[in-house]
Amino acid sequence: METNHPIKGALANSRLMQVRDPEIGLNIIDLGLVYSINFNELTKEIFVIMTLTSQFCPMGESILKEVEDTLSIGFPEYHISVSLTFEPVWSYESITETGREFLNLP
Amino acid sequence: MKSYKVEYNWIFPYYVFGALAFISMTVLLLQIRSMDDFHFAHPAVIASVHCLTLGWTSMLIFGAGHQLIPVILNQPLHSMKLLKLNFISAAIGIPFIIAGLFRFNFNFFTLAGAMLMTISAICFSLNVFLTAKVSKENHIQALFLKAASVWLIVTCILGVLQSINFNHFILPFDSFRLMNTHAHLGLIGFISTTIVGVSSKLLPMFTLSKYKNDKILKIIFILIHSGLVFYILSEFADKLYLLLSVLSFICAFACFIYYTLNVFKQRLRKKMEAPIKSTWAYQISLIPIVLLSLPYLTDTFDPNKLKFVYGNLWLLGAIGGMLTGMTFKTLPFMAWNTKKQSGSSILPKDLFNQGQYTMMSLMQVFGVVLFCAGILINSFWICKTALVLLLSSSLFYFYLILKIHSFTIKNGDQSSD
Repeated sequence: METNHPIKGALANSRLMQVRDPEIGLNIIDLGLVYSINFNELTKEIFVIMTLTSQFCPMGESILKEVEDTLSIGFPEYHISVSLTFEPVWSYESITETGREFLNLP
Repeated sequence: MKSYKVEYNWIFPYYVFGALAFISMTVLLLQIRSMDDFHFAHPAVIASVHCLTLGWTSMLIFGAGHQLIPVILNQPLHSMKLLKLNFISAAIGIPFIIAGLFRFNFNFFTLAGAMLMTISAICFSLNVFLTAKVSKENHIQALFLKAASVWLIVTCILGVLQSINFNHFILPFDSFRLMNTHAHLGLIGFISTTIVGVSSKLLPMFTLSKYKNDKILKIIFILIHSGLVFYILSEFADKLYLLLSVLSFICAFACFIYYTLNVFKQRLRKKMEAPIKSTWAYQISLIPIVLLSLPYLTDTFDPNKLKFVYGNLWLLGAIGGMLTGMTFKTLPFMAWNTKKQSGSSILPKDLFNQGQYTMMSLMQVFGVVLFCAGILINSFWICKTALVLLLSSSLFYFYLILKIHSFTIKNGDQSSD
């Protein structure tokens, strides 16, 4: 995951570990859904670029809303902007080691 | 992102109606007083079959379908008004049809019920076609959905014609002649085509399977439809077409089983939830259906008993099982989507007790197996015991649906994981 602010990025990362994919039960960070979290200190904005396991995920709206709500609690002074991308398309290789253990993947 | 959410308050009633139809179906079968009455021409059996196919199956396909069409076609649902009309006309029409069939009285109300059901089918089809028209995606699953909705309309029209023909002879033959065609177009054309189309999309999604094979899905589509055409021809022309039809269906189901086994083999998610396990387990029911089709053709065994067992394995076994799995895989997500609270880690699967689901599902499986065994060995008491088991399972099913609906998620609630 990319970030232009390592310390705040790590904090945002840890907060987003509370957001889980409702179908898989794994958090979106270990699932590899979050591509970047960037901060604009002048405008006090956080830009999150993320994807979903499937373009047609019926839970997509809920996940995005939860990302926004979770970051708003952790960073109350910032405005949160969450964008969805399917380039690159999410693949199983994006799952972290911890995620693989959780899912019992080889 | 585009909103794919369809109003939950309009989707939940489909599930309630489906559960009540499941209960009614078993209650109607319990009205039968003798072994000789377990056949598809008995009014209580015809009424119970329609409870299952119209009340439970169609309503669940409509309910889950309206939620899944936007997901599969990557396009918001065309019209909520059509959805509302679809529900209202079916909810009024189905009880009239069932009451008419149970009394074997094809009066004005039965005909009105059949017409309302046709209106409901047209509304569903319009929503499928008009949503697909705007969609830029051209998935094979859209083809399955479109074809299934057309077969549904044809099935309903045949139902209306049969209903009229019982009192006013508008057809050159009696209504029973159309019964097999009506049943197979509904079961295979609408229900099975929908199940294959939707599950070919959702099973890989739910299990995180890498397997993708549109070619085999196209083959399945062609086989199902050539089988249906051969079936219609067999009713009005040479009986050889029946053999071709059965062969096409057997090949289609073999290909579908091959497809799902590959999805299963290449899945990344090893631990599966009970509803997905049961969906797979019920596919095993298809094997006896295929095996029973052969002696049914050659008349080696008592054809009436085999026909009844064949029908029950289809309806209660394969379709009933799929419906149970589908209910507890789709409804918790829809409910969760409206109940979700920030700060809570509750997941859709936490909205119902997996152990209770397994118990309900086992009661259903044992009920179906026992019922078919009772028919084959001609034991009325085994059949009655099986039906009591199925009634208990249906009441349990309704209870679990209400539990999901009444579940409240509070801020800070944690998942069972």
